[in-house]
Amino acid sequence: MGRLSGKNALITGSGSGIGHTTAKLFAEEGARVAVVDLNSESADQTTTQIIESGGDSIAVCGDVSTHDEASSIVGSVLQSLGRIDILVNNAGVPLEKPLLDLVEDDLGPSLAVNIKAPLFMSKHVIASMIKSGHGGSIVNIASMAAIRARPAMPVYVATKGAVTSLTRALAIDFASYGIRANCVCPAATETPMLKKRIAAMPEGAVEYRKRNSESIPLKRLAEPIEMAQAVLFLASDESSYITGHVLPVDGGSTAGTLIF
Amino acid sequence: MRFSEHVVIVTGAGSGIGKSIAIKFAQEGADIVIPDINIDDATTTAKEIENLGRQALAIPTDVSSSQEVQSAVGQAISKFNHIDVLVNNAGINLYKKPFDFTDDEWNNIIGVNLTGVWFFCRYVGPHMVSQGKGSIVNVASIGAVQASYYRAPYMASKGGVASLTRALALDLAEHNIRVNAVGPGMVETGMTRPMESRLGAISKEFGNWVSPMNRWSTPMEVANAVTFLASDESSFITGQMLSVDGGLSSGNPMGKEWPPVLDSQ
Repeated sequence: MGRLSGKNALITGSGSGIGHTTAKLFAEEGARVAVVDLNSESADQTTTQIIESGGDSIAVCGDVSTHDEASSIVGSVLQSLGRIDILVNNAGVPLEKPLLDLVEDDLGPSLAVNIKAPLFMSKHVIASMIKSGHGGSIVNIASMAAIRARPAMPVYVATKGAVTSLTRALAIDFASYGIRANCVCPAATETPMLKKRIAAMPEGAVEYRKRNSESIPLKRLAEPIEMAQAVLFLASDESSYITGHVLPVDGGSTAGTLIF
Repeated sequence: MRFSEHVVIVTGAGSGIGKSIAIKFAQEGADIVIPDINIDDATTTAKEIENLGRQALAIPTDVSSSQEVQSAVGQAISKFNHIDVLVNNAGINLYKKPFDFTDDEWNNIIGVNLTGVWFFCRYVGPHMVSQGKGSIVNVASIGAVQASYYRAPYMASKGGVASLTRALALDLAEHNIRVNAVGPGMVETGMTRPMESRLGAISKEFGNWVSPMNRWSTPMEVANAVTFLASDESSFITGQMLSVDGGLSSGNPMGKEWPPVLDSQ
């Protein structure tokens, strides 16, 4: 018996990175997983890998950041799976742009993917959870940057902060329906995308990892599976009395500072 | 099973949340050491663990005594040779208006709830350092981040536990020892049940009303969070307090309908 046996999960942005690893872990634990991604090729890849390992999955391509498209994505997942028990709002975009260089148009993708997507996806999925009467669990992926600001990325920091507040709002508004909402705040995670970026660093991968691990008490970057395990715990019934919690998975980074 | 061949110390596991934690670990394959001030309760828990096919060692221990903790850890090591997980659960509580607390009462609450955590970390820690691995989980309280009425020393002690958790997480990270806490909210245990007859008492129904989830938690719901933090599933989590509070610290009941719907029991 898997820890998510009999449950259906929808994971946004699960064509790659943390979402991809989470989708595979959920499937191993017995969930049927709807892999939602803007990139249909990567969504298909995740789904194919799950099915090849004996799991159950469907791929849905679409943009979760607009009200109506989010609604039709949720609708088509409900049509295929019948019910959604778990929603993981994982899709997100970084923006490395300092405040003084910001122009109006810079905000579009960050507001859309980091704020509107979890709002609208939660709206549509929660409506279906209330209708089903089975309750459910929502896990939002914010960032350690929501708790300890990272330099020169104010829009990312602010939008991820919004995700943590949204988590608390959802938690108290829908607790009485048996719907829980929690949030994982990842620190720098060795996703394929980050690995590629690190490999291209002018200072070299070894130096980059060393420098960036210095402020992390565990002295290393995280693996995607470590984020996925935290999401699994919060999605599963093992966390049945945990709601509204913002859980940093950060190697101890937010527990302290190098000096004060 | 997540804790096969693991040895786990759970302080105060004779009753309440600690007992559920001990049983949960045993169900997942661990042998359990039970330091408890009440040896009859500790022995009862030990028997239940042996009935699950695991080994258990009940040790009469006042966690606020450095010598007694040192001796308890020594006995655990002589029986099992190693300690993989330490759960600092033992705690006491007293409800009074702030200036009615005597010095002895203050010292006793801080001694058990905060100093007791320190003593166990201090004597178990070196064994974990030489093993090159370990996980410590402290049972703090949501009171560490938001107070409730008429238990000032308890709130201070639990805030101390949360701070100690962060401090030791930093200092022990280099030894591959993670230190975390859980922050329970309203839990139905022997410690919280006789609430009707004392200062600051809240009824079960009032608690249900305050809770966003409209209910109290079971001790096992706290135990599930403890085993997650103790296990390798949380390998990148250290220095955190995980709230197990049904959303209590996420919002405010202001605007919620009053009177609460009364529990029919």
